[in-house]
Amino acid sequence: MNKIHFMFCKLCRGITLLLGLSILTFTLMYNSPIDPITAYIGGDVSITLEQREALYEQWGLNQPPHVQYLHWLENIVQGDMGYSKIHRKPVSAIIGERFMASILLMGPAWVLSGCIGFFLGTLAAVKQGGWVDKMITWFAYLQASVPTFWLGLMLLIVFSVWLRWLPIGISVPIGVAAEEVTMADRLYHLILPLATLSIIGIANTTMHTREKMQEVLSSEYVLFAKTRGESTWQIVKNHGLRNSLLPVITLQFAYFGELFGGSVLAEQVFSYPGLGSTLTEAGLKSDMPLLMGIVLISAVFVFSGNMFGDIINILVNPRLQEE
Amino acid sequence: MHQKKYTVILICLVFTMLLFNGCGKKNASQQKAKDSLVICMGTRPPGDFDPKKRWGLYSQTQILHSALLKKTATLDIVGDYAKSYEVSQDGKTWTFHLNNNFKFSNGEPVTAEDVKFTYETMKKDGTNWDLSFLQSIDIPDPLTLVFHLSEPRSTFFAQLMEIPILPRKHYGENYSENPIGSGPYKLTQWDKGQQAILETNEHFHGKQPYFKKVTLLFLNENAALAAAKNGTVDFIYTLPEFADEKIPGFKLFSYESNDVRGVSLPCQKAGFGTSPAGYPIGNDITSDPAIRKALNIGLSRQAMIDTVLNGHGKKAYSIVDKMPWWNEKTTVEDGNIDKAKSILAAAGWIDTDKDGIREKDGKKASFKLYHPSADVVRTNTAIVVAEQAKKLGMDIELVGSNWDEMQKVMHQHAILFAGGRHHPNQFWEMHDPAKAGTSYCNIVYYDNPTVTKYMHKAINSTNPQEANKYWKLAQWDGKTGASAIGDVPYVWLIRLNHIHLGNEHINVGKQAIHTHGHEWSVLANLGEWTWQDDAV
Repeated sequence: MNKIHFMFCKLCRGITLLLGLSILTFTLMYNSPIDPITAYIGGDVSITLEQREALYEQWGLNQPPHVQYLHWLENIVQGDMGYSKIHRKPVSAIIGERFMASILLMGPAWVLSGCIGFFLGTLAAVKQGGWVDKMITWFAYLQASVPTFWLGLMLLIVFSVWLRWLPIGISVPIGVAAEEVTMADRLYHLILPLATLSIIGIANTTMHTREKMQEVLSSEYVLFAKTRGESTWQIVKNHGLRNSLLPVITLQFAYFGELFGGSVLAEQVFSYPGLGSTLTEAGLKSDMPLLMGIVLISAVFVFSGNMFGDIINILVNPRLQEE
Repeated sequence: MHQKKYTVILICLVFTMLLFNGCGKKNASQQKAKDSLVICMGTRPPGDFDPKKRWGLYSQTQILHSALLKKTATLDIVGDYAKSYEVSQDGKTWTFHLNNNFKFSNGEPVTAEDVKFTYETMKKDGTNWDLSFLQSIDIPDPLTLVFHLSEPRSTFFAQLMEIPILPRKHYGENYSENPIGSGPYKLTQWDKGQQAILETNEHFHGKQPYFKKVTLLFLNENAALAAAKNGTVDFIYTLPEFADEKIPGFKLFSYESNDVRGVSLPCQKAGFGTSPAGYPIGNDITSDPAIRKALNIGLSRQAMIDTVLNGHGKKAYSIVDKMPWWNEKTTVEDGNIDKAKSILAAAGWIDTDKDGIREKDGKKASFKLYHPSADVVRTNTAIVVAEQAKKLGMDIELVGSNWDEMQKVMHQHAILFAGGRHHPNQFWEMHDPAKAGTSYCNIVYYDNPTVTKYMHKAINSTNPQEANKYWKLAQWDGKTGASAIGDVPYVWLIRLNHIHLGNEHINVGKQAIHTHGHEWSVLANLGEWTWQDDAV
């Protein structure tokens, strides 16, 4: 009963969030100084007034804003995300195409940053005060203060332009037919954007794990374990991991939002054809249906990240279940 | 102690990098002849290969498609799918005699029906090409096409050269994915946002291109430059500020264009009325011919080219410079501050209160100049214009803006304007009083009955030569005209060179003068590109 109630509340919150977000996005875009037609044709002088009006009508821009919004809402409820103006294709098709590419980037980055971060955090806590700890902490602070795009650019300059070890961007080898592209090719092209995105996520997890692990290690039960003669590794394994993993998991799921933001920037730097670069283009060219579609999908993405975090927390932590 | 260790590691790391760095660069210039190219031309194909989405509007037609007519590098009009054509005396009936050896990339023959379908589809769509004057299309026999126009239109040549012929059996919503055409190349793969792979079309009626495969990479300017340095691409479009980048084995490909930038000067006095969209018309200062002529003669175009374009540009005098319909007599000796001053003084513009700005009838020689602040070239040009105008005793107030705001004020204030086409249609739109106030046509409300008369004669001409004669007269007939030596409705200033960096062995053939804006201009003759063993 409690669980059903919990899920229902979450679902309601999710729906109101999406509704509110879509209204906000629409209002912002509607009032933005970018005229979609001008953005589409690029300030060109050759288009006649009749042609311009035909476009307005075709795109439904001559209707009042609330009609435009309700029309969009009506369609979306029926599962129709609309038609992109700049791509002249259904929004769902574009998102489907690009979302997979983004997942391919974000998924591994998420796992990697989580694992590496957790490992470093644990290591730092165990070696508290030592040079390993200091180095890891210093490294984490450095990462946290480095902007994604700058890190991406640096990696690009060093590994692609100077060393020529890795490709400059895009997700497939140049000039190779799709059938001939191997998994290895794809992985090879994924290295740099993946590294950028993972490195950015590590700092957060590291510092939280370190803090939590330190807390555990300085607890009385660990002191007791030590007196019983357990080795450091045994203590970490038996007492530390489970206790410090929990907040990290929640944190890692909550990190979905930042991951998405980081991905937008990393995709720009590495010309990676994911959702992020599409979002930027849609925003700059005032492509309302596409922008709204991507915003909604990413909101669902971030929201479900947080929700999973909550659910896993409940499942793993028996104390929360009873409440 | 620990610090020392890090320092050693760091030094080792840097050293390794430098070592590898040296290795990478060695082989860049010793390349063998190749039959495939990798090219970077901006982040996406203009118009996604579909004419409904504007593909063909900027010289891309002859890559994947053919058209009824085409232009040569010297801008002469020659036959393409139509081997010859006639225009009736009244200019309303255009007859085309077709070739019978044109095939689409899937092997099917190109037919008159395909052309009819193409023009009817584009007319119905109506957003990219103006075909409103096209009444009907007849096919009296399979190799003859007859277009019936509701009124004579000599500028129809533009559409005839630009509109790519589509396969009527295979054209639909998803044409972008598989753009079957009858050009030298065909699209074999398009990874959106990443690359498009073109391979030669074995059914092409003409000579097979030298490069068997051309891959277009969709990268932004910075990524493209990195890719060029990294050795993965052979040819990139780039910005004037990157023109002097030195990449081993690469050279600069810089092409003259009629892609012009200038200042529009409202020609009517304030209070002239409002435009159809409800925006005010007229400006008391810019409507004074002396102000316009003084700016035209007093501003130094060369200084703008040197500062704004890093030297990669040409002086502009009109929106049709170097075109077959350009009146070459309409250039001026610019940068002549003394002459500009005397024009102003003679017209009564004198600095009586000694504040550096001239006055006349109690009004200061001061006006606003709007420029889109997101556009670096236009913004920089505007800054230089304002700076130089001070020397003439004029005060130009710069307003950084966007197109939406500029649309509302462009009939009453000066704006930093642009243009440039391979057809005279734009000249007509920008000077015809009947078109004033619609979209970006004639934004200054220019109205000279003599000029209008010549333009109508040009439009009604039945052959390009006769039309060109009248276009030239409209610019200057010895007494008046819509040009830099006539009424100066716009002060055109600079023509941008289109800048590319590419492998020194690439020969891009004979390039026609490039048009407004679009990076793909250089690819217009992609089928003629070759590789030269001895670097040029």
